[in-house]
Amino acid sequence: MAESSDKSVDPAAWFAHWMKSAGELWSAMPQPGKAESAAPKPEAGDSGRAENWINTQIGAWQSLASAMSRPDTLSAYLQGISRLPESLTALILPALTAAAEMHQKGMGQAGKTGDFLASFNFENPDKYALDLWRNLYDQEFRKFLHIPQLGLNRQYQEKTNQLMDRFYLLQSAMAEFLRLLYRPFETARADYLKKLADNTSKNEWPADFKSQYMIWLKILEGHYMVLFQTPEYLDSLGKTISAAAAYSLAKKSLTNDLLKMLSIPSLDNIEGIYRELYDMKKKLKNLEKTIQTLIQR
Amino acid sequence: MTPSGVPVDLLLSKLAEDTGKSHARVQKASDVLLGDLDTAIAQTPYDVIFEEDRVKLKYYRPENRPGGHIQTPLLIIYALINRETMLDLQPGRSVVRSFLDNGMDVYMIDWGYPSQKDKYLTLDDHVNGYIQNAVDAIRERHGIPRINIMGICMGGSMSVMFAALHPDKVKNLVTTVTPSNFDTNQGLLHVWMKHIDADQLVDAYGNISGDFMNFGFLLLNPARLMLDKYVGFLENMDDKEFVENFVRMEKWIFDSPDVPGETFRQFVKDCYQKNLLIESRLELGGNLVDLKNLTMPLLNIYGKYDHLVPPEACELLTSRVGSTDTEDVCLDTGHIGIYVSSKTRKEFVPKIVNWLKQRDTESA
Repeated sequence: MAESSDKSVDPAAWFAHWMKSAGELWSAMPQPGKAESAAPKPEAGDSGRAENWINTQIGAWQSLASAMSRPDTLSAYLQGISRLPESLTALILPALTAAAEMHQKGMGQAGKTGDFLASFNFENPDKYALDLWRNLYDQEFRKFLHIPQLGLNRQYQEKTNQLMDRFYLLQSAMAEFLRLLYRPFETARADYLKKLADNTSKNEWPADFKSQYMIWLKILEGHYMVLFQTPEYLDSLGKTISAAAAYSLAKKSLTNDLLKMLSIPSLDNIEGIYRELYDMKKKLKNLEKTIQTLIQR
Repeated sequence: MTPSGVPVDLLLSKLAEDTGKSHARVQKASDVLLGDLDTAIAQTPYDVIFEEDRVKLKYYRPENRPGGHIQTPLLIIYALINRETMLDLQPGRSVVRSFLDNGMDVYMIDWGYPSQKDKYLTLDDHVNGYIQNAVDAIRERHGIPRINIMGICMGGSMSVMFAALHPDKVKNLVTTVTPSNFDTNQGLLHVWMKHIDADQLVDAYGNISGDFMNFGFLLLNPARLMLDKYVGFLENMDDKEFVENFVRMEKWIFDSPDVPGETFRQFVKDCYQKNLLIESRLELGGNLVDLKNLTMPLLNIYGKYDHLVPPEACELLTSRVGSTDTEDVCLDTGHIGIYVSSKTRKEFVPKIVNWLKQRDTESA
């Protein structure tokens, strides 16, 4: 063992030897068409297909072996081998760099999440929680659903991603809208309690529950009336309705594809028929009126 | 220690009293709710004298004709939102029956329930199609050139459009809670409609769902419409008559047909967002709806506390039409109360009957 390990191996001689042997092996390889075979003749339709395929393969290997065993090729190849570590480094380094960059980017994004959390406002936790989620989704997650899709299924994948995107946007808009709708309850409760405290400090105690309910209801109604005219509410209302419509459109688009695959008339097909039906009926009614007018004349 | 000013004894006795009352109420309510309730609506008999697609023309025949009754038949055009059954909720609170008692021939358009195949129907199809055909059917049936028309809410807006395009077919026009000036921020509906992308909604949903619109109406005053209303029900559920009326109203209010998509799109964009109707710039089927063509007598009734169609949305109409015989009437009520409140109906129906009667004797 020690003896063999001590021997220095000349890679050039070893490779030249191996290439020579390989060349001899492939050139000595019998060609199936040239020798008579005991195997049954192939069917008329398949005649020569398998034979041709083997001949082509052997021919290719023979040519390759012969070319590789030529001294000039060998020397060029050996030169290449001596540069293998350098080439490998050149191959691997960009991949490692890319991985490191991705990792760094990921850490950076995780850091941004931390920034969002660091700016969390505990005075208005529901609003900031929703803002946090919306910003995170918009800036960090949403772009993954917008990565360009490739290949035969790209259109379907793109539509599926779009549906998911629209769904998240709808959830976000809806959550904000419901938060706004709930807010008057909180403020009305606070205002009512303040009023109650003021009254009790003046020794004015509630006569019955109904009267207290009516006071609270009036306060609540007032807060709603104010809220409904605020730009914040109007903006949220418009966004929620738009988000719901956009989600519905994305769902419709994907459903259409699914129905098409199942050979079921899609919504678009049916709407096309409705449109034609509408146009035909309108023409028919106009025609009917024209005829009646002509008859009356 | 300062003696407490809390009248604990009074509060506790009040609580005990309320609990006792509630217990008795619940016991009685169970008898009411489990017993026979008459909650049927739209019970006044009628004949369908004309049908086109989903649209029906109902004819209510008067049982008796008092002397000096109105000869010219009246066509009631309801909105495309909710149903015309509101005018005939129950015998004692039926606008239709009140008109019949005055010997009037009453016709009413039932718009039916639009399906997705109706999504392409435009305002033009409703005004110059269905309404015109219904009017022609009545004219032909009575052998007269012109009839009386009463429009309600959006049906009133369509009546105005029809009367402006076909003034030769309308003898007198009555508009009730009819929006014509949409450039106001007095009603929340007007404010909200300016922030709605009608194109996107119609493209996404086709027809606009009745439930969606009802939810929008509830949001106009959630404290009253989604909370206090049902608290009121709980407080009165031992009263059979109250429960019956309440259920009738619930039946009507949540019986909401969808609105054809293209009609919704045009109404929101041309009326709510561009305010074309009052400015005589609206076009239907390529024809300009010029309010100066409204030369027939016009009675314009609206509610002082209407939160859906506020007075500001109604009162401009009479000053923009070509007619010299116009009258505005503002009643102390809301959008629905004008038809269903017993107090207001006593004012509302006689006003219309007398106004029409005065103009019925004039030559057609």
